[in-house]
Amino acid sequence: MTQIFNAGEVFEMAIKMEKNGAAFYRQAAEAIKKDEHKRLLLSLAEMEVDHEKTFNGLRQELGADNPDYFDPDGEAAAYLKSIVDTEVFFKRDIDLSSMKTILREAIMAEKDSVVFYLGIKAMVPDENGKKKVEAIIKEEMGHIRLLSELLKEC
Amino acid sequence: MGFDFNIDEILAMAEEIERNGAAFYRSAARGAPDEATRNMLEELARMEDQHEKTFTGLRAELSENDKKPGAFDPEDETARYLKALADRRVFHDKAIDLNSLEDVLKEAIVTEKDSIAFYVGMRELVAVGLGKNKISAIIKEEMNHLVLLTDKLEQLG
Repeated sequence: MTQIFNAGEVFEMAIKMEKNGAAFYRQAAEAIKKDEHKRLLLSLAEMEVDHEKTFNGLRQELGADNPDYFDPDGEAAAYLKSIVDTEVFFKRDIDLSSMKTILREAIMAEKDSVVFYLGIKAMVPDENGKKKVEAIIKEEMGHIRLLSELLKEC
Repeated sequence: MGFDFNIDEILAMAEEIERNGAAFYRSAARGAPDEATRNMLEELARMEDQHEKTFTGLRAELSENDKKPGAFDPEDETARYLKALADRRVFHDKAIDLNSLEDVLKEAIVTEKDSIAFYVGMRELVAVGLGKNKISAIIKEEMNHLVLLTDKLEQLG
């Protein structure tokens, strides 16, 4: 492992994940005909936008871009870096052709978010910051539940 | 899945995840291209064995009361989350080519992520006295496995 991130970059990545997530849900909503599904996908997109805002706010509030802000043992940073570095191995074309394939993609992406944010939570030393990240993790878990329950009906 | 969902069943499922994980690492070790990789995979298998034992120990410590369905609310969001993951059979039996180290590592990474996602939910449901901290320790170890596996995958480049 050559280079560890700084906290600012980690937040940047989380923000990017949320942006990608929101974009994915919007595209999916466009591709899907059923109104009920469209609405659900759009509301998921909105929630991801809220998360993006939370991460942005937290980044500033915690002063994560300050070079002194660091993860003392570097373990969490190493964990986050390893997830990001191997992303390229898992790149695939996203299949928007049916609600079923959309839900599968979404579940996988939401799981990735949970796993990544867990590392962020470990990295953030501030208790209040941890709680905010935890709240986002809980919401993503809620999405997994929702998406999986829906998938069963499809 | 006929699953009326009590903590005992959730822990049993965690045992199964670990058992499958260990079996996977052992079969992968047999097909490993070199000794260093084989050692790494065998070590991962041993760690999954340890996790299984921890979950078995936690199950043994449960009282009859804890095992009753409804010891927690099955409509609880976290319970539904775990059930959703279980129903989706995240812990799938996918046929993968054990002769390709890249495929083995990718499969292992996906599986470790699935375990983490499951245990994070589980930790929510388990009371402090019933081993919340032990589950946290296992989550941490699975996070370390992820680092190990991704480093290896990167080396393959």
